[in-house]
Amino acid sequence: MGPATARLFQAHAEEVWRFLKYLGVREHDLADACQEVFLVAHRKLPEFRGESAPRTWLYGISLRVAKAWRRRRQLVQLGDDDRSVGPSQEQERERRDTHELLCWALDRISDVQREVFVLHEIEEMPMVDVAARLDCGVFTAYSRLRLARRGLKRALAEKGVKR
Amino acid sequence: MTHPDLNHLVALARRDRPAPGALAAVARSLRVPFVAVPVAAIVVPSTAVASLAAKVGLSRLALLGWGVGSTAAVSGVVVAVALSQPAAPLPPQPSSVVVGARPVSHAAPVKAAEPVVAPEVAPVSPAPHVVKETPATWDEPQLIERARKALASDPRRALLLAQEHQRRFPAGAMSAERDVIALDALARSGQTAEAKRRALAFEAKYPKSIHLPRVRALLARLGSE
Repeated sequence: MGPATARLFQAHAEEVWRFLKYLGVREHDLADACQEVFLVAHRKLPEFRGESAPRTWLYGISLRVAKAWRRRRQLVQLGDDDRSVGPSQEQERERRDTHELLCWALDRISDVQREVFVLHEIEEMPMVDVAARLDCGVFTAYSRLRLARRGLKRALAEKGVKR
Repeated sequence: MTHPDLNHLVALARRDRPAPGALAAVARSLRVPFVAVPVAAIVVPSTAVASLAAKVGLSRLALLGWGVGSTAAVSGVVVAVALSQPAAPLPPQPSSVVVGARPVSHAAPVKAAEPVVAPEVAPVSPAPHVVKETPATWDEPQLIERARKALASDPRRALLLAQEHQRRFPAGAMSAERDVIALDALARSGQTAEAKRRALAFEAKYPKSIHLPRVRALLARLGSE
């Protein structure tokens, strides 16, 4: 890895990690997926057009990597049962519970809605950039965002009733 | 149990970050040096997230530990914390040239710190309201990104940042991008002749660059002026 990739990693690895997580890459796959993003980035660095910010560029790569991981996950039919933690790590468990509640709800909306929601709401990317990144119109992006919020609220309400 | 609403979950998600050591392991696989945010500016929101933390059982300490957001944009108290990570090579040392430094509330590494030995979250005393960050401490992508952003509003600053990049990363991976920013900044600040000279030099130096259309468009515009 060259110094440029090292600097990209230093500056953006945490964001990429979080982005991948909320795009549906499972906790135990995050290290591999994150590594994959930076391997692709390293390979594509010579083509990097400075027109977009490095972070936005990395998110483009991450979207494709996360999609592949989601597909892999569906193929092996991994459920949500792979997230148990020891009872001694109470605080850690609660933190994970809270974050995973959102991940759980995100699993219940469509991929395109999820991508818009995560980019705009969690990564706080302006909608114009979200639409450009996802190659759709701004109107479509807003529509997906609205549907995403509705679906997530419905899923969370359902969870609240259950527990 | 009542679950927190969607907005609160999103607020927490924005501050979610990997467990200590997780990225260091990835960095080792990639064979890149990595320092996990040795000193970070954290904005602790005084209301929403803190109250939610109480609701869902997270302590303020846990928030500090996990809450380093990269796009911290809410008002609150900015504190500097030292986060634990395995010792690794330090980021570029500050140099003597400081170009128009502005305080930025941004959770990027802001200065080289001593490696932290024990896993702890310790406020640095006295807690500064704003953490100093200068172009001399930015890494290559950060420098280029900020130079690019400054182009439209402040081309002189963009040019200074490009010069800073030239000085610190003469053979950097983003040298072509830097040269484009510099010549564009020159054109925007009225130094047409120099901009033209550099655009022609760029064409000769990078005959296959993806930036060529942009440079040629700029040349055409300058030619018609």
